[in-house]
Amino acid sequence: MIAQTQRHSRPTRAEVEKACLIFGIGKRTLTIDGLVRTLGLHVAHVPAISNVIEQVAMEGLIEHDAGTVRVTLEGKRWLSTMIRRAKGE
Amino acid sequence: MENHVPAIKASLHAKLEGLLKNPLIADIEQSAPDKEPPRNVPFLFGILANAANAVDSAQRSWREEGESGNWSLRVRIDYDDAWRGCEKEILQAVKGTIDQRVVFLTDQQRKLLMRAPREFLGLNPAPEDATLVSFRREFIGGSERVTELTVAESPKNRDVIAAVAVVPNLVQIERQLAALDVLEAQAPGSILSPLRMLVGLPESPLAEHMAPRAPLALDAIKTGVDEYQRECIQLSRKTPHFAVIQGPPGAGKTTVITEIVRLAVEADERVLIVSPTHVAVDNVVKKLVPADGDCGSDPLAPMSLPIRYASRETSVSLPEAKPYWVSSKRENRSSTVARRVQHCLENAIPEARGLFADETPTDSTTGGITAAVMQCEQVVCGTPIGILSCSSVKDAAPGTFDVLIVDEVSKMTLPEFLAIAVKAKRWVLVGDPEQLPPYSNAEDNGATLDDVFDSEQELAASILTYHSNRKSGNTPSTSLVVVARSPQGLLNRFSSLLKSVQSVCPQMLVPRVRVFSNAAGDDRNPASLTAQPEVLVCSPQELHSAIPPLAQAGPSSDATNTSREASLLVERGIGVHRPAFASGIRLVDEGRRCQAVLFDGMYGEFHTLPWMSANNQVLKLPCEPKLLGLLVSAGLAATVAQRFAVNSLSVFDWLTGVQTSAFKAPPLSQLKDRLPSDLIDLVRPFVGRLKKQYRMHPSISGVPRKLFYGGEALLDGKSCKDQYCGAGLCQVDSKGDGEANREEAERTFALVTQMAEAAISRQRESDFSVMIITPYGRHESLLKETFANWKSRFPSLAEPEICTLDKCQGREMDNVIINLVRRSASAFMDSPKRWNVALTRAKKGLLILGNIDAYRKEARDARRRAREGNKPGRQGSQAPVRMSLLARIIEEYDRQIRGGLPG
Repeated sequence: MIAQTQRHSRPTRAEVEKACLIFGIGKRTLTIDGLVRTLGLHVAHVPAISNVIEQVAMEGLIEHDAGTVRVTLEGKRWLSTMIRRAKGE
Repeated sequence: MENHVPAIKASLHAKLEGLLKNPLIADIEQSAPDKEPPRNVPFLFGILANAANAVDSAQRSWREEGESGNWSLRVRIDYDDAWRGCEKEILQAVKGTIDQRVVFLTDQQRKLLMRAPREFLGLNPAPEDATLVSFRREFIGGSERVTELTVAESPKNRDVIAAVAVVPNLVQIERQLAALDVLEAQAPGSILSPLRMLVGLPESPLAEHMAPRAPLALDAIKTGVDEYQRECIQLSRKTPHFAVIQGPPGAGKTTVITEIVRLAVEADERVLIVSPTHVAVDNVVKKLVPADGDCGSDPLAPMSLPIRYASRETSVSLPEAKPYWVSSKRENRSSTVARRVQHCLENAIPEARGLFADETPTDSTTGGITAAVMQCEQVVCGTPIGILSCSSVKDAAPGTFDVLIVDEVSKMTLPEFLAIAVKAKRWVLVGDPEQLPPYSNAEDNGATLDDVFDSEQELAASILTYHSNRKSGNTPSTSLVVVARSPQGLLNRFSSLLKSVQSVCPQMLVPRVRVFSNAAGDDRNPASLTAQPEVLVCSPQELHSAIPPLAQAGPSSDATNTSREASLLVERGIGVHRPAFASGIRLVDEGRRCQAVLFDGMYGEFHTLPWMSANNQVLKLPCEPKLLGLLVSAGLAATVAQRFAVNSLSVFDWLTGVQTSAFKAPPLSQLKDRLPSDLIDLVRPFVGRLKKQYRMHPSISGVPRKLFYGGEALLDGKSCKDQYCGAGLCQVDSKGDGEANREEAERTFALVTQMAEAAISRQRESDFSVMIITPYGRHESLLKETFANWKSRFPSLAEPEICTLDKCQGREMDNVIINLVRRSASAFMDSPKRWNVALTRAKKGLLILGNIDAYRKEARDARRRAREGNKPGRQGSQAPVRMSLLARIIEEYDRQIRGGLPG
C-alpha cells in the first residue's frame, strides 16, 4: 500500500513539463519568445506555447503581462513540492 | 489567353459521370414482419397497421453496434441477374471502399442515379452518405457474397432509405472541381493570381506581389550541396510564384526539397509537401526527420515535426515515416513528439533530466508543451488529394500555406495540382519530364471528349478505329453490330469519312458496311449476323428482335470459332437491355471507342515522337498518327488538343511549355498554342535543372545519360572504383512472346539465390538488396509466385522487391535485375520514359536478363538496313534507324562493355 502511494506521488508527464516551463523562466522576467527559445523550441511554436502559459498563469504559478512572463511565489512553492515528490520524499 | 476552366470542368464532369455509370447498388433488406397482419379489423385500419409494420421492419434492418456508434445493415445485391458472375469484382469494390463514403439512396434517388447520373450529381440537397467501416461476406451458392455493410453513421431518415450505393470515390474529382470554384471566386490581383493565369482566367498582367523576392545569403544554404542544387534552392526562395526544378534520377531532389523546407521553417513559413506517390512522400519525411534517438542531428532543428497525413497506416511505406503518421481518426505521433520534447527540454534545462527520470512510468497523459507542439502543423506531407482530408489543410483558407512543394510533378495533371495548389501562395515543383508521365486511362479520358464529338461522328470514327487497329494483313474476324437511331444516316456519314480516309491512306483496310434489315430474307437467319465479318448497322428494335435467336445459337461459347463473334457499338443515349447476358453479344469495351483510341494514340505519340526525332530512330507507336489527324476535323482539333492538355499533360509541361516540332499533324501540333505562354515567360527565369547524379555507379548511368538526356544531365557526381559494381546482360533462350516468361523467372530466382548464398557466406546479409523489374503485371505475379518461399528459405535476408516498370519510379536498390519477358518489343515497351526509369534504379549492379541475342540481331539488321539505305545515290539524307528501343539499349550496353567499362 505504501509502495503504491509512493509510486502515485511521483510527478506525471504533464507536471514534469509544467515544471520545465517554470524552470525555463527561472528567476528572470522573460519574453514569451525568449522563453520558447530557452525551452529549446522554435519560433513557430510561440502561439501554441502561449496557450500553455495562459493555462499555467490561471493556476497562479506564473504571471504574464505585456508579452513577458515570470514565476510567482506560488509557482516557486509548487516547484519545490514537485522536486521533493520526484525525489520520493 | 484561353480560359481553360470550362474545359477542365467539362472533363471532370465527364469523369464523374463515368464513375457513376455502373454503380454497385445494394438494396437494404427488409426483414419480414414478426407480427401477423391484424385480422378482423376494418379495411382502412388493416392498411394502416401494415404500413406501420413495414416502417418498423425497415427500422429493424438497421442495427446499432454497441459502443462504437457504427450501424450495420443487411443488404441484398442482385447477384442473380445484374451482377451475375461478378462476385469477386464486388468483393474488391466493397473492400476498396472501406474508409470511403457510401451513399444512401431513397427509391427515387436510386432511379435517378440509374437513369441520369448527371442530374443525380446535381441533387440539392445531396443524398446523405457515411463512411463504410466494414462488411460481412457469406458463402452462398458456392461463392462469397457481400451480405452486410457497417457504416459509421446512420442517415437521418432511415425509414425512407431503400438502398446503399457503393460508388467509386468521387471525392478526388469533387475536390478538383471545388478548387476551380475557389479560383473563379478570387478577384484579379489576389494571392492566387498566378494560378488564375495558369488556367487562363482574366488577370492583371503585372501584379505587385509578382516581383522577385530577395535572394538568400550565400551562407544560408547548408554546405554539401552541389552548384546545381544550390542554384535550384535559390530559385525556390527567390520566386514570387512558381519555381520549377527538373531532377533526373538520383540527382538529389529529396535533398533539395529538405533544404527548401528547412529554410522555409527558419523563415517561420508554413509548408505543404505533396507527391502523387506515397513512396516519394515518405522519402521526403524520412529525410526531414532524424533517425530514432538521434534528435541532435535534426535537419529541421529545433523542433518542427512533419505531419505525414494518410487515411490508412498501410499507405505509409517507410518505417521511418510511420511515427509521423496522422489520419483523420487517430494520431500516433504523440509518443514521438513527447520523446522529442523531452530531448529538447533535457538539453535546454539541466533540472529536466532528473524530473523526467522520476516521472511516474504508468502516466500516459500528454503534457502541455507536447500538446502545444503537436498543434503546430507547420510542415504537412501527403498525397495531393488525400491531404485535403487532413483537417488543418481542409479547413485552411486559400493561400494559407506559404509554400507548396510538389515532388514528382511530372506525374501530376493540372486539375490534380489545382486541388491542393489553392491552399498555398508560392509553388515549388520538382520532377523530371524524362521519367513517367501522368497515368493515363484512355477509357476515362476518352469520355471527356463526349461533349466534343457528336454521336454519329463518334460511332463512325469508332468503327474505323476498331478496324484499323487490327493487325495488318489479318482480315477482321469480328463483326460489328452498330445500333443507331438512324441506320441510314449513320451509313451516309460513315461513307463520307471512309472516302476521306481512303484518299489519304489508300492502303488502309476498311470494313464492308451495310444496313441490317429485317425485310431481307437472309438476315432473318441469325447466323447471317456473324458468319461474315463486317459492319451491320441496325436500329434498337431490330437488334432486340435479333437477340433471342442469337442467344440460342450461343455464339460466344466456342472460343475458337472467332468468326462467329460479334461486337456491338451503341449510340449514346440508346438503352439496350443487357445484351451481354441475353445473347452472348458483347459490347465493344469503352477502350475501343474512337475517343479512347484517340487519347491512347496521342499519349503514345506525345511521349515517343520527340525522342524519335531527336535520336533519328523509328519506334512502334500504339496508333497510326495519320489516322488521328483524320479523326479530328479542323474545327475540333483545337478542342481535342485542349482536352488532351488538361487530362494528360503534366503541370511541368504547363509551366515550361512543350516542343511541338516533332508533331506534323493536329491535334498535337496545336498543343503549344493551348498553354499559357504569358505565364511560361514569367516562370522561365525560375526553372532550374539538377545535372549531377549521386545514385548510380558510372557504368550504370552512362547509357541512360546518352539515350535519354543527350549527355547533358545525369552527369556522375561521385566516382566509384568498386570492381563489384557495373551493368551486365544475361542471355536466356526462350520464345518469350507472351506477357509472362517462366524460363526468365526461374533463371532470375537461381541468380538471386546465388547472390543470397554469397551474402550469407561473406556475412554481409545487411548489404543484400535486390529489386526485380519487369514490363508486365503477369510476369510480376509469376515472379512473386516463384519467390513465395523466400522468407522461409532466407529468413535473415530482405525479400527481393518485385515491381513493374510503371511502379518502380521513386525507388532505388543496390542491385536491380530487369526481366525483358519478350524477345521482341511491343509498342508498350518502346517507351523511352519507362526505360529511363527502369535503367536508373540500381545503385551498384544492373543486370538485364532476357533473350538478349534476339535484340542484338534486331539491332544488327537495323544498322545494316540503314547503311544500305544511306548508300550514296540512294537517298539524300540519313534515313532513320528502325529498331526497338530495347534493341538500342542492348546495343549501347554491348558497346559500353566492349569499351572497357565494368560489365
